[in-house]
Amino acid sequence: MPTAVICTDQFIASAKAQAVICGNPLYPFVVVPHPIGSLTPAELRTRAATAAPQVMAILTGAA
Amino acid sequence: MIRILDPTVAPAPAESSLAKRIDGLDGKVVGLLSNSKVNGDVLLSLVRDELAARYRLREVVLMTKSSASRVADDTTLEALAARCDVVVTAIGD
Amino acid sequence: MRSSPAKLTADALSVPGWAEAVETYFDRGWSDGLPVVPATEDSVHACLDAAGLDPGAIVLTEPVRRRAVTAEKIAINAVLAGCRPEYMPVLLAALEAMADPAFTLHGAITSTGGSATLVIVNGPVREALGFNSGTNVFGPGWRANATVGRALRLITLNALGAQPGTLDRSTQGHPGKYTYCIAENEEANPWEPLHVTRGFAREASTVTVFAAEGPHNILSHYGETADAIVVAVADAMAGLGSFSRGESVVVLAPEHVAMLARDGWTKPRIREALYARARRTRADLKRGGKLAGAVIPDDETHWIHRGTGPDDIHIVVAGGGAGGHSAFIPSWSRERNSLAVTREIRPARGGPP
Repeated sequence: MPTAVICTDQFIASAKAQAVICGNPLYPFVVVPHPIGSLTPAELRTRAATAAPQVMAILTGAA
Repeated sequence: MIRILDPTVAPAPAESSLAKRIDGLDGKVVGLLSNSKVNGDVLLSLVRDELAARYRLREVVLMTKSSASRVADDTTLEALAARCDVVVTAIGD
Repeated sequence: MRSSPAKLTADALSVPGWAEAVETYFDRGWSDGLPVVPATEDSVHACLDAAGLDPGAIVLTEPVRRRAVTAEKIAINAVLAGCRPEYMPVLLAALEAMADPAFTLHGAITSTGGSATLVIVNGPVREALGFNSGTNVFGPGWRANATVGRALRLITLNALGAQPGTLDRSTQGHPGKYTYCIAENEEANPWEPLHVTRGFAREASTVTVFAAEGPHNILSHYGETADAIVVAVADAMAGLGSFSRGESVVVLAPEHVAMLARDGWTKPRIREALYARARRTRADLKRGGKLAGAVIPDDETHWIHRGTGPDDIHIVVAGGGAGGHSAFIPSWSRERNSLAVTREIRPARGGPP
């Protein structure tokens, strides 16, 4: 099943390391700026707007 | 000369490949898996809104990991696999 | 003498001498930042003999990182850390405890929370192997404490791949990540030692592992009553920085213990009193960014305790005979994700430890 993983830029090195362990070194990630937990609703909407096109690009194979 | 030993352990070999990609989300069931950290679910809901504005989603399934520190349990993964066409997951931190 | 003749399978490097060997371990990224003791076939065989294990025996598996760690790799890292071969049964028991699902090994060694594995040693093995439970118990000077804790960190780094920046995301970490191993001062404990409270026989030797923050000092010199000590310890436990529903280790100094015992306090009473006092209002937790949301009037009278009950507070006696300094050690886990785990230290196969 196609999957898209949204990850903040601070954690991308860890995400890639885990992808290598899982045998899929080129697995693509949706990258948004850190952080998430302390954001206001407006800031979260901006993050979602950054993420959505990347999600579609990954699910359709355009990325 | 002395011979010294390597203390490291490599991961067990694994191979996985990307699943077949889709053309779009019209008529699809979208799974959302939050890692249970603060705002992870909110971000995913907002992404859902963005996707729903562009596609006619058939259904959205939201699930949450029991703990951010652990991998998702089999029940959660099996439910997502059975019900969804695609899954989007997100962290919050 | 050798009882484990099986061949080692680790890659070997030839280097001109000892000094170059030490540098090679640095260059390859196989140290914790301090010089290691180069591991040779002889020194590794000595550790395997002491453990009574074949080199290929699987000691530890970690499914998320897809690691299966053999006795040989454990022995190599034990040598690197400076362990004596006879410490191997302690390491094996600690690793068995860390592999218990209740400990959540992958999360504990990866998290931004930056925990270290606190190891608490109980029972006769303390004296047999020379573990310090007295003066400077968290500090330097004792090979058993220093190298057992260090070996666990080197195994985490080298065998589980917990390199800072990739699979160790500690925001700050703490000095206990170099080594963090104490023994209980059972001789200064008028109640029962930790391992007995946790269901083991008094004459058993055990290790307890706890994914932990660093020790928070609790200075209480002049109260001269048990009540004063309990007030000070509970206040440290209620501090916002480490406040959570996780477990607590409270390491009581012998002076404090003597005062508590003199005033008739028992371990259950201490735990109950600490649980009752170590609490904050929901309003405080919101003001301190521990909970999301704005403070509402109800929050000022809604109390939240540290932990989920008195049993979440593990009492240990350790430290020197002089000084009113105890320690509070919060769990890394904010909820129930990672719990203290105790395992018995078993004698090596085919011989006494």
